Amino acid sequence: MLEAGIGFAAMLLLIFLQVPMAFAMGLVGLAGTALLRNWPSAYAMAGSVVYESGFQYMLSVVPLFVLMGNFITQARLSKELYAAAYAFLGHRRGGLAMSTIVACGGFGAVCGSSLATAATMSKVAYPEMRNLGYSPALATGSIAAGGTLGILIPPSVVMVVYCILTEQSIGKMFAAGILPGILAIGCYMLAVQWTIWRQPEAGPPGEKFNWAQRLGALREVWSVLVLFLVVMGGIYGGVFTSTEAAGIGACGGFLFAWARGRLSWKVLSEVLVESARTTGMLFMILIGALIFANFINFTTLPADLKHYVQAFALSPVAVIVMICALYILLGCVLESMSMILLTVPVFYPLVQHLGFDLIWFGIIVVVVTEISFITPPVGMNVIVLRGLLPEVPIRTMFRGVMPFVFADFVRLGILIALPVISTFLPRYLG
Amino acid sequence: MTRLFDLLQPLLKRMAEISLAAMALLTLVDVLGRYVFSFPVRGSVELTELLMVAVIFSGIPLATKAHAHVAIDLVTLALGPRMRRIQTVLAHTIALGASLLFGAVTWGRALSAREFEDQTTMLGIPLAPMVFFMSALLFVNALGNAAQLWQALTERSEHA
Repeated sequence: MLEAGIGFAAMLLLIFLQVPMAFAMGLVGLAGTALLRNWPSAYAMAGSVVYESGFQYMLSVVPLFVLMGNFITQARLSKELYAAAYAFLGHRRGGLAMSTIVACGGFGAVCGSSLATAATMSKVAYPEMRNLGYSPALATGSIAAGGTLGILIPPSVVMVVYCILTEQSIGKMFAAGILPGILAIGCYMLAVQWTIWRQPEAGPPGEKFNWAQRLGALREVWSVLVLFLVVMGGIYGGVFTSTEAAGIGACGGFLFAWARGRLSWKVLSEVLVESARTTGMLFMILIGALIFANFINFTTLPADLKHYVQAFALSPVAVIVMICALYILLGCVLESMSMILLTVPVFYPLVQHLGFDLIWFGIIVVVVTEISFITPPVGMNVIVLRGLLPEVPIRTMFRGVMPFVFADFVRLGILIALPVISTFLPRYLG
Repeated sequence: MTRLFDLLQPLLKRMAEISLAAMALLTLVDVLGRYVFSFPVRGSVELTELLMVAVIFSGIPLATKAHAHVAIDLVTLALGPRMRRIQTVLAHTIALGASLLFGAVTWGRALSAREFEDQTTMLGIPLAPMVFFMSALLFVNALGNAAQLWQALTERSEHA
């Protein structure tokens, strides 16, 4: 327990010194193992981690889903998605913020990253909302929160990483995300309603569309639907594996971007290099976190955790609530992917030991990770938005996001109380 | 040092582009081949893995170049300019040390892969060269860290 504590403290120290997280985790893991065991075994362990993260077929979904998301972003489907949601919801008070949420959900269905979803949507949704006189707080809040749907609605890079860590089926995990994703959209809509109820001038109504126009707008988004159905249908129809689905999705994303005339050689090169860069960054974190996790497993921490749960006669649900509280605290200071990689290897044996379904726990982890994307001070979605919309103060953004954080807590409560929402679809799919 | 790292950038980029595009196309050809021509690509899993190694390990130094590795500036934002400079130099030094260590442990793994003549199951491609390649690119990454450290150090003397 003490060694693990020192390890975590040393790692946090390095992180606060602004050493990249991946390097901080790897270094502490390597040194910690060397001190607990000896240098040669620490060397061999770290070497194997680097080697195995490179040669793992399952992990090939990560670069390919990243590539798919980048092509889709380049295809600028976000505009059509937003227009379609607008046609249905725009005439209501706060309707544009609701449209943003729905469009983010739709974008999340073809993109596995929250940052990309928020960044793409901000370019389309923010100017529209501001032109209509929306408050900057509601406008940015809805984009930052809607963006988090990217990792809950399949495909999702975070889910893939969780599945690899816990040896769960990616297909089942993706299926599990669908209903909680719809629930999330519902909760966020209520958060918009609440903001409007408190502050009616924050979101004035837009123009009303007739049904012919609505159906017309819907027709524009067929391509998103097709891509989603090909990727997910391919997995669940048994046509290809989830690993292959990522490759097919990337090729599909390429076709859409190309058909819409968005791809020159230069743009294609940028998309590929950008995806490789993101892949390198993600794998560096993966390598660092796995070395650190190996060190933690050499310490007594995992056994101690089980022991404490027994010693204090904690009920399983109380343990889950404590884990969630810890995640929310950690999420305030850590970046999401590192948080998952650091904690899941420590917690999942305990959660499994308590008799919980690991697919369900995966959804819980994804939801608390979504919360970490929008909570101050290190809410990555808000930080990304701040970069894209420098005219809005970060305080305003965090104020705007608060009703959505509250909605997230409600949703987390519902998902913990009713596991069937997460476990229903995986029973039949995947 | 900085110049050498910059010279390597186009090479890294081309490698990343080609291998990532090849990965996506390989999957497409494999799936199409299996259904349309009932002729899957032999050893496609292994080829994907090898291409992935190229994508990942060229991506790591590319991310270093773009300062894309996730770091947290929460505490350092509050530091004064003098402390800030010390912190930057320290952070780059530690990152450099970590990169060198990662490169070295991977080199060790490569030596054992060569000794045991590790190879892929289907196509029998020897793995040792790939692992040496991983290690080499981690050393390239260390070069990037060193370049950034050098930059931080020279900036410091300019201000002094």
